[in-house]
Amino acid sequence: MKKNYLILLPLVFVGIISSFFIWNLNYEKSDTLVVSDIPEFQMSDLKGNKIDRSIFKVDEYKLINVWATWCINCKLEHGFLMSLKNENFKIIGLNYKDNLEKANKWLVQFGNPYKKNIFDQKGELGFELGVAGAPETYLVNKQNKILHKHIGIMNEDIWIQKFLPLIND
Amino acid sequence: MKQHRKNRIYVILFIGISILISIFLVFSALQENINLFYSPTDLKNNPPMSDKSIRAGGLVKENSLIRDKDSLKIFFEITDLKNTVSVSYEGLLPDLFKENKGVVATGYFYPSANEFVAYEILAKHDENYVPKEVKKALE
Amino acid sequence: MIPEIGNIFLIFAFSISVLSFLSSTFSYYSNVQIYDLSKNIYLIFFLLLASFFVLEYSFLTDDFSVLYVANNSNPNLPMYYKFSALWGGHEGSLLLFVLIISIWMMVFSLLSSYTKIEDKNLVLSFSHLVLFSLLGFIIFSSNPFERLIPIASMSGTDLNPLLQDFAFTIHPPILYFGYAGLIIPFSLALARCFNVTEAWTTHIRNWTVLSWSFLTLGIALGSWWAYYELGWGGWWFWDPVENSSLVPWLLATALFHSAIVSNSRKIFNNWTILLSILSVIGCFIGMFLVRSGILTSVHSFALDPERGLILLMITLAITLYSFFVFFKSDVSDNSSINYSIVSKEYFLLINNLFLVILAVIILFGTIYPIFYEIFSGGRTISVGAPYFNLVTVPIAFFLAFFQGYGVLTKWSSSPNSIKTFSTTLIVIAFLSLAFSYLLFNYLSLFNVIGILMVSSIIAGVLISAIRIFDNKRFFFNNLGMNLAHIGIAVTIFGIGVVSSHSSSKEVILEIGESTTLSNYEFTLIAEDFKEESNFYSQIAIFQVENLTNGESFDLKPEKAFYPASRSIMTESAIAITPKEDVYISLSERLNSGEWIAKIQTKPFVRFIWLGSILMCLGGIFSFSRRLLFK
Repeated sequence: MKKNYLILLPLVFVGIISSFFIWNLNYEKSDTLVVSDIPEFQMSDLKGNKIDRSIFKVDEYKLINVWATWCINCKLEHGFLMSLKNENFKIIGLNYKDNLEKANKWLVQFGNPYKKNIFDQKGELGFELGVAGAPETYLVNKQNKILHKHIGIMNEDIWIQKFLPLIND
Repeated sequence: MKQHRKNRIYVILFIGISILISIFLVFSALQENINLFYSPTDLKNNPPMSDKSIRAGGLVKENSLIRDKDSLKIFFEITDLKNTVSVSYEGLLPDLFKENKGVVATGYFYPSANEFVAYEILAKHDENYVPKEVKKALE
Repeated sequence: MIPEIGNIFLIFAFSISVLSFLSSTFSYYSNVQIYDLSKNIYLIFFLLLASFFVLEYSFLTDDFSVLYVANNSNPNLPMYYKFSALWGGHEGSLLLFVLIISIWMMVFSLLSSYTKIEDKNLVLSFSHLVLFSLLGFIIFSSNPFERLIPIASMSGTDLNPLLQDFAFTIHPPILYFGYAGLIIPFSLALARCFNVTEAWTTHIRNWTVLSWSFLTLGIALGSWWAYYELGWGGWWFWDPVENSSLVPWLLATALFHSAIVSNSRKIFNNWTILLSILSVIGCFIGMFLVRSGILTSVHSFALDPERGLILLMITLAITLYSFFVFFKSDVSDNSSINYSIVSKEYFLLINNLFLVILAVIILFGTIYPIFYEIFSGGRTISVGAPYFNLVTVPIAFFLAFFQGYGVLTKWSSSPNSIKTFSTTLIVIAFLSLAFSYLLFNYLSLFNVIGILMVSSIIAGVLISAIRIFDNKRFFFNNLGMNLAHIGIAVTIFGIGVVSSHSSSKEVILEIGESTTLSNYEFTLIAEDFKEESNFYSQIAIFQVENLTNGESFDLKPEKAFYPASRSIMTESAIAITPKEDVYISLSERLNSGEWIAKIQTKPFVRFIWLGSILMCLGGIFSFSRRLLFK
């Protein structure tokens, strides 16, 4: 018996919507390139020392990593940040809306991947930088411009695919 | 047999008409009931018609929230860190509505006053998660 | 160590499932006799159950070295919620889902008998196909036993406070029972394509009805949960997640109606097979929409696109496979069957047509923002609730109207029954008017539509009940169907009244101040504070007086704060009176000490869920009757 080809119509329908889904999923991943400056700020670090924009030294690439002790996913990327530190890459921590005591305890317990830490209890600097949550990681170039914002967990793949090409440019 | 064939035609006609009516229904309903998303920068650069309901989103600007004394009227500003738009709204705010947090408002935009009159406020947001549109607006 | 054991159980279950599928397929093509593979499913079930309890153990013992536990639980969480937190996130809920699939397979294997053991093997093999695809997905990309290494978390975040609730603890399992059950008719349909004809339509009808009952109850529970837990009194939001449960429900409804025709008349066979396949694909697309994070929603799990892509690939693979099998098959209808336009066949055709159209347009509205984003180069839109109301109400109206008459028709009625058709139609119209008059003394357009729908169904059921009154056996046979049909009427009635007769008001009140709404007077009399193990809350106490009879009662809505996840929750207070719900939710407390609150009355809102329960009972009754009195 010859089958009616009409029954393939739902298959075509499913195929079409799936291709749209795939398109959309990939579309989401292509972050746009952002270039913005590090704003001026007057903050303190986790030891209580005053710090300002001068901690962002000219002539080197560095990362800003937004973290907090209440953020589970920050624990997940911690190991990777430690390995970056071991490669002597400079990471500046932005301790975001956190508790000073807990944050210090965390660094002692799990290791400190950060060169400097900005204690941003109210999220003021975070707001100016456009932080939406934690974890987030920004790539800052030699001229202290933010080249790329990554929202979510950092890992080897993202580092290689998103960050290294920008550094090597 | 003739009756059988006639019935078949009825069935096909019925199915065809139902599908056509449904398609018509869907498209006329879509025309009226979709809300385009605008960031404050979009609102500035190419403002929409003020008779069309749209959605605007970004972060609630710090210290911008003003509450009317004896009504449920609220004024605040939405920013995408480049531009700002002031929003007025009458009604209850969602639990997650906070300054410096993401928000999506639905309503009408009046370009001359740079004012957005919202009839619905949505704030689905925790620290680990931002509404997709807001994330995009901030980039 | 213990979580790793759970993982090993999963891997064993996966391997057995893959082997069962392969050996059935091999035996089919090679004609090599194999033993009864249906016993395998017991083993798989026990392995999955063990793995489930291993994860449960990690939750109950606060083992935060397990990433999934750390993300979804907290030491201060009450024991009961620690238990249900297992299905509060993506990985755990998927584990629960595969466990439920194995339960269905086991129950099917126990309750169905085949003369040829190969046939049973073949049917179950298609369930194995779905089962091992999902198991593979769990093991390789969504493993709930993954460790938080090298650092163990000390405290864990928390279960989303929205989910710390009784309805939530039972809503996902029941909904999953509904989804997973549809895999049985799917397997039966594919097996039919491989010429397993033994009682296939009977099986499809019965198993679809049963899983449909669970699906109905699951959706109703979700709606009830949203009603009191989201805090603002809505019971259906046309949210992507709700829609992706409604689409399989509509398809399943169409499926068992079509299976009834296939079973009694041996026609619509291909259509029944197609619907069986589509119902499962509908579930998978829904699962993809909810779990990929492609659409934002209150209920969705925030996830990375990678997993979404894998899930989509699984969906596509299953779709392609089933359509390949379906297209290669040779299933034909009984060509000697004729039916006229007032026959039962014809009305069930209409029912199927409208249900499928409804499913398609709801799915379309749900994913339209994705299309739009692509075609407009990244502009995002939302499709509002008015779209869904506008397109679904007219179709639902025809559906309900034809439903009323449909139950009265007979198989294959000849053209001369057109005379009876018109008389019955007049009777229905008359009864509808009478009901409408009884129910309301004034009418708006929306009421008219709602009432006509309800009345038509009730009239249909009543007439058929009267007609078969002297035939008790017949009455008993149709009890399940009639119960479910009345359930639909009750739900529509609830929806109609709530949509048109609710009242609501947003107020600012200080202590001692009162306001009136409908025939109630609300007075804010006091404030209170309470502290629980994992949250604390502010309480406003309202005295509500019914102005008609002078009775009064207290309502205590709360504003709760959960420190672990740093979130605020609106705990509404609802008083249930025979006629309506009185609903108060708090917005916020102003510095001046005044409270902003929303007060509402929701007449007959309970009918929405009451109707769903009737539908569910009808379905279960119908299944068990067929099982017990064959």
